[in-house]
Amino acid sequence: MASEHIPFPHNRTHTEELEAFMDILFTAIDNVITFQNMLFVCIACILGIIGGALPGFSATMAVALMVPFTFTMEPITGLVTIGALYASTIFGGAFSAILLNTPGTPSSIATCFDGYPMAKAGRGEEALYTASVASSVGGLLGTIILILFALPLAQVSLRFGPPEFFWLAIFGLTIIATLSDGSILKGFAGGFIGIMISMIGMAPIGGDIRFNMGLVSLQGGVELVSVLIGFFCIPEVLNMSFNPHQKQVIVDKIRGSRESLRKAWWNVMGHPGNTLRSAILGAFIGILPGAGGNISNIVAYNEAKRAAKDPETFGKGNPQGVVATETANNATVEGALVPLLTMGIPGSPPAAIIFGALLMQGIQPGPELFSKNGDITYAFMFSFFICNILMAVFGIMAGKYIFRLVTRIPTRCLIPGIILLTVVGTYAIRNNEMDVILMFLSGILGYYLKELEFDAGPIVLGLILGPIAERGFVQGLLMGGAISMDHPWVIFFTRPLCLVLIALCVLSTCWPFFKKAMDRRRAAKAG
Amino acid sequence: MQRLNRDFLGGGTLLAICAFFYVQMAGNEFSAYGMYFPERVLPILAILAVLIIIKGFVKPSRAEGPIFRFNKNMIITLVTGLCWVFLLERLGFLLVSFLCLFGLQCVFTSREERTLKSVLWQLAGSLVTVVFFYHIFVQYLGVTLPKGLITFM
Repeated sequence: MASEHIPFPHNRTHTEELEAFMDILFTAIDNVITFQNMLFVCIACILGIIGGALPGFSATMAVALMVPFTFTMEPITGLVTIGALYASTIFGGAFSAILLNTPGTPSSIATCFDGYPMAKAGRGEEALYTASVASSVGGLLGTIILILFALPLAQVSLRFGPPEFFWLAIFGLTIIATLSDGSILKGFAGGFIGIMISMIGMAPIGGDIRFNMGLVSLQGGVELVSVLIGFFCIPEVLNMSFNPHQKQVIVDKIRGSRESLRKAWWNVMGHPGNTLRSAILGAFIGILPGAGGNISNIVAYNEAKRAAKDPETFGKGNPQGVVATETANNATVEGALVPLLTMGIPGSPPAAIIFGALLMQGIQPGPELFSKNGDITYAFMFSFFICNILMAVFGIMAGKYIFRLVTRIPTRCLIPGIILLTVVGTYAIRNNEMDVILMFLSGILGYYLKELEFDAGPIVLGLILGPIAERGFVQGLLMGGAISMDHPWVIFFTRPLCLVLIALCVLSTCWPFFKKAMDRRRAAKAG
Repeated sequence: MQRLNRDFLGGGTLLAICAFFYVQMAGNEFSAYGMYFPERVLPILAILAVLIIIKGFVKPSRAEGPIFRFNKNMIITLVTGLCWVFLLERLGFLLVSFLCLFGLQCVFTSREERTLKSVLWQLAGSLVTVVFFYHIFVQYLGVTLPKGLITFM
């Protein structure tokens, strides 16, 4: 299946740019809408909803387990499948949040606040349909934001040289360290652990083989996707196995009434302010490196509550709570792809896995992605329009069957099933036993560090940003050496874009302290 | 039970990680390009480890219960997982995956549900699942999975 090449539009008039954009859009549509792609998108949507609805089965896990199935596919088919799975898993989390009061994914935590009370009051179906429509609308708005932001940002990032990439990697690290769960100190430490692990194997400049403990299989470095699968899947499996006989209580049923669907439509479309605000918040939180749906759904919920005329009804079954969280978490999916596609920095943990998937397809995410692999990139972005619509259709039409299936999957099948997928998936990447061993060992390390309050997010981002930072640092020093032999490091502090990035690093590091001070002042005023 | 300080343990772990990398840096000769970055990152990680330990004294983050929750099921999962991984090439994907899948299912089945019928179902289910994934990966995705002892497939 050959896809058409799309040129990257730059230095043109507005009319030419519009024409080029329309050309890109139609070629992307042509590349995406094939029988094979649509079939895989449908399968991914159904699997994603099932995976998302399973408590303890996160979107990151779902994407990580799907990657090995896709790397032998055509790049567009593989990426479209992963994208659809990512979006629908986030949506699927709403099912168990509403009907079981257990968020299927961390992105649905705030959906429980109002979804569950609605279900308890016999309005579970309305809540679920509201979540379906809101997720779809959030995803569609997020896709528009992705398309609008990706191109200009890619053009800016084309001006980046090694020193800028070094600071960009540091900025990504500061953001994720400050936004990760737990202490900032441990967030930073996690990032640096990831950077150190990324240095195992061949140095990007110089070619030295480092830290491989003399093992030949580690000379090429740690296999990124294997380590990601280990870090995100094995700790969850160990946690699940701690109590495999947990009973779940379903509080309401899905009957398929049109009245509920009509109400759901009104809940989303009749309150455009809440829907738009939540989508924009979700997409922008997604753009921040490392911040995912787990943050955006809570922020959007709080903002919806703050802006509402009846804030006291939130937490007692207000559908606007469900709208806010579900719109935001699905808009985050596309937002998280903006830094990934334009700068090669993932915006969320599942985006980190997509980073690995792109590498496995031989595609390097970053500024040149749009010019070198424009056909694939635009098709991938466009596919989110389709999967977000299909996701809602499946949620509404097949939701009751999917949920019935999910509640019948016992943990005793789920735990060995996930391990099976991690083992076979990791082995399939390079036919290398060492990758599987490394996957399991990194999973155990991930579990151990998580118990000590080191979040997996910063470690994984450090793993991805490490080579970018190192290459930027060493190449920057070499460039600096050509300007001043005595002070080659000056180059990192004199270029205008470097200064902007340094300012962003300082701002993101200091932000939690500012926020704490502001909260204290606000509390003092209120008290 | 005495409550453990997560910061001490976390800081100590980081220092151990630093030591692991430092030993390998000190024991080998590398070019300047290969060491520019690690030589700068490693001290930062060590400083962060010390800061976390200091935080453990000043504002400790203590675990309410034991830090590492371990029970029989978890240990069995861990050991089975390790066996699965280390025996994959020796016994082959089909055999080791079938044994581990079936074994874990038996372990996680509650006593009330454990009947001869359920065991037979699990046996059949494990076999079908393993063969299904083997078929998918080998036939459709073109991946070579280790055959191990089962060489006739």
